[in-house]
Amino acid sequence: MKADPRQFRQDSARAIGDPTLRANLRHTLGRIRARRAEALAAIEDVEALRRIGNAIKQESLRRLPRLLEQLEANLVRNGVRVHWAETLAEANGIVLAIARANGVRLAVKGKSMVSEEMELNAFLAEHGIEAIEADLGEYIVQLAGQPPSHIVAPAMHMNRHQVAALFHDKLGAPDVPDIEAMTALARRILREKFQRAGMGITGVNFAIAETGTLCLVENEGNGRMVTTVPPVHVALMGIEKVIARLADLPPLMRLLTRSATGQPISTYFNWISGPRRPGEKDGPREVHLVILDNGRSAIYADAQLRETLDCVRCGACLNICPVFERIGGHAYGSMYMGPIGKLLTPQMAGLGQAGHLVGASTLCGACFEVCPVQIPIPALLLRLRQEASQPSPAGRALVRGAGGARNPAEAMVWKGWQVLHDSAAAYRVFARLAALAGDRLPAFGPLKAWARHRALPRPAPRSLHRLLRDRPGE
Amino acid sequence: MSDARTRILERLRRAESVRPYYANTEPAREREWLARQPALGDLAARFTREQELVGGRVLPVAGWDQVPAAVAPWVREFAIGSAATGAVPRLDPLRAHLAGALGVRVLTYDREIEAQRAAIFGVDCGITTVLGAIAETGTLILIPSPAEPRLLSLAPPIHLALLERRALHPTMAAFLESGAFGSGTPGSAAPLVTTPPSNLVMISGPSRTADIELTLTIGVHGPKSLLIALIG
Amino acid sequence: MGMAGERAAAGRPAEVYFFGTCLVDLFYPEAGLAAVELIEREGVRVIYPQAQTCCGQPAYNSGYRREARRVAAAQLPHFAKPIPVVVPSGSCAAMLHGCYPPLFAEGGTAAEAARARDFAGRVVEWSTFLAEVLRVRLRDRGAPVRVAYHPSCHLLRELGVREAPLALLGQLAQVELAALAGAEECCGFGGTFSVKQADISGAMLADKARAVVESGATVLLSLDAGCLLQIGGALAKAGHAIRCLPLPLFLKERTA
Ligand code: SF4
Repeated sequence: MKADPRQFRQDSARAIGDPTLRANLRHTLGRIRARRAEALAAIEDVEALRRIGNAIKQESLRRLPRLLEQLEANLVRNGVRVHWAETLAEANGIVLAIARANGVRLAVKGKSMVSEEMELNAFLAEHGIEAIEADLGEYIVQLAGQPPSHIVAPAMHMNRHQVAALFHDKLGAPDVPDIEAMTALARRILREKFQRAGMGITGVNFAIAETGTLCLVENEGNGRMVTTVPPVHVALMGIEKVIARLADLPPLMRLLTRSATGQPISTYFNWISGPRRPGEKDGPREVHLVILDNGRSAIYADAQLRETLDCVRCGACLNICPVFERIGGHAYGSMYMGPIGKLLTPQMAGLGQAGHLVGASTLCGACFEVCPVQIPIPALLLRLRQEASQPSPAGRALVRGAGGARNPAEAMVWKGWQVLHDSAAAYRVFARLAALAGDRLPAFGPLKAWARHRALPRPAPRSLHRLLRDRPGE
Repeated sequence: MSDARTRILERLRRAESVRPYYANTEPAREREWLARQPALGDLAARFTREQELVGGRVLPVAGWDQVPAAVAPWVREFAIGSAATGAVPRLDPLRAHLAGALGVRVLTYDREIEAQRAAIFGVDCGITTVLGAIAETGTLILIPSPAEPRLLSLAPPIHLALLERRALHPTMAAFLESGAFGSGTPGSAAPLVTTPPSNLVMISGPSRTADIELTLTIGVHGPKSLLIALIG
Repeated sequence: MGMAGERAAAGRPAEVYFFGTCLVDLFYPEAGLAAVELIEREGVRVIYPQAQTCCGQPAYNSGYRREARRVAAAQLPHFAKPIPVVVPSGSCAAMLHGCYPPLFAEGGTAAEAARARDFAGRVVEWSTFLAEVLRVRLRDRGAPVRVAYHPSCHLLRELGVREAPLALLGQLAQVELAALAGAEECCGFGGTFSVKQADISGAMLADKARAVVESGATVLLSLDAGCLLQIGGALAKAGHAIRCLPLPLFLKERTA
């Protein structure tokens, strides 16, 4: 299944018509929303904490180039090799070169959204290197030949029966929907892989500039396995993951895990500051960090859209989103789905490719309300809608593919709308005609789409303008 | 890839001076918030409750000399037939008790992983000391060392951790302020001067997942049981 | 929300502007009239500039800011006096209050930008104005009824108005407020979203309509005409007899 944001309309329609998927999403989202709400209700002054989260990320971005250099210098001092990649192809090339230099045939992976961006598994496979996902959810979707449907819970779209059928099919397990037994099977298979693998690959949740430390948030222990057992560890991160200080971690962690899964802290929180040191018995002999741009520096250049890069990938905005609840993650055709995906995908792939995603929102604001770092998602969507339909105003950085989703017919409709509404006289005629139409509005065009799910609205015979004008004594 | 590096940094530097569209204007209030410590009550009680909420077991033990006797019931309950420790003299009495009276096969993880991987993956229980803990979230803090490598707390299905009560910090922020990580002052403008440990791990409960139907399942890749002796 | 507090502090004005909004004008004029009359009943003069049309939100939300700005600019001169502008719609009030300043800051003249800022600062959402500025006391004269209240997204999350409509409803002795499952979740209207993403909108709407039916209410109230057209349209299409009304009309009917 190849992800393609251009298929959004068809894919979302298919998802809506899939009762199993709808039930799975309702079930899991109901649970995860309740857990988040409960976890946040238990701490004091969440709004102040969200402002702190936002301030930390803003401050880190403000100093981004300096922090990246500081991070690099400290990592190098700690014995980590740092690589920079402008494009996905460059990043893939770097990972392949490291693998080749170490004679790697099998790699095990922790969760990494950047590796999804790179489509790293497919790339390595083309070059004869097998990459196995070790996060249970990722492992499931990899077995199923699907991309993750959620940035935190990759197999959220499947229920236990579907996973059992998959394990039966691919692993020869009994087709029994016993979650513990299936987890135990994955444990057994993956433990063997950890021990055989020549390389471990992970993402990075936070990179601390002042110490040269890579932080990894996880529950399963796969992150620990992948960064402990194989002789080489390659970490992949977007440029926006760096924060200045260790002291920034406690508030961000307080927000991240509660927002993501409702946990006060993840089961494991790994701080990696270098390879195995002399005398140490385990840990990788080499640690590499690949720092990826892939369009992020362009997002950074825009004073408003920059806020997109605050994201800590907690998934809360997906979980609360009424659109996501109806269509699931795959319909977005991108590794970044839901509200944050509607911001990231068009800015990375270009508005020409994915501009319509920014329109697929009611702007209900639920995402902004839960975002732990207060990304004003609706306002940024509005900004991108503007960029999609017309080139940026002068003096502003251009968004990739700006104007690329411009629809001349739609532009004319809005021009016409403006003419009817920017003069009182024209509007009076328009309102009069609408009133005359009454319930004889013809169901074509947008009204036809409207009428599929609703009765047609009926303009009142006399507008408020007229009611008030005609009042006795006016 | 120094070219990529130069180009990325140049682009970022060009944009660095852009005035952010959204300005977060309440830094004073934030500092105040950060300085505030949550009311946690008794740290050991809080630690124990939080650990138990995530499936860990906590056993108060009066002193180090009581540890061997105190963990004996666990050895029976969890049918521990083999255990591994690092080369830590402090654990010698416990090792002797395990190997003697309790009949546990005791292994020392004192060679490199390449030589001992299968053995460590094969034992029932890994035993470690810990650097400290965070009461608020019920979190153990381990800095693996040449004496106590990482795998001990990861590969065996049971992890027995020995935590001293006086090493309890109220919060993660308090732990950082204690300066236990590196020798600099976290949060101050001065950078850390020494190299931080290659690995630090915070552990809150046994390994878990909720990847199928958001249903909590214990023991995916890491230990299935986390047993903590709270000493002192 | 700031705007409610500021207004409340300013005390009871002698006169206010009323910005009726285009949807109320075309589809719910009686509700607009009721909103005006409920203010007048408190002894406050209401000025309704006949030259007003629309706040510009439809184009603004679709990314057509130039067009939105033209329409917005056409409204401003008709609301020049330094008195509150009362708006009977959460969505339009959010647009007028929150979006006008940036809209003119990025594209208008300096004079327009200043005028937009001044105007935006005077915007007060209708239920907030009644409950917190006028502090109205309502006497229920209607028969017992079970109603549900749909707190529209922009009213709730952009303006932060949660209590005022409930406080007004709470004054009506014979009105029972039904619990609405998923009350704070979007109904799926979203302006052009409702036709451009008709399937997704329809799926969200189906769940909302079901919740309304299951609440056992015979009347659904809201302060956003768009949501009422959406939910009311679905209920009507499915043949349910639940009345979907703007809150002002309901309050006026019950207290006449
Ligand atoms: S945008 Fe905010 S809520 Fe969404 S994933 Fe990122 S941090 Fe979480």
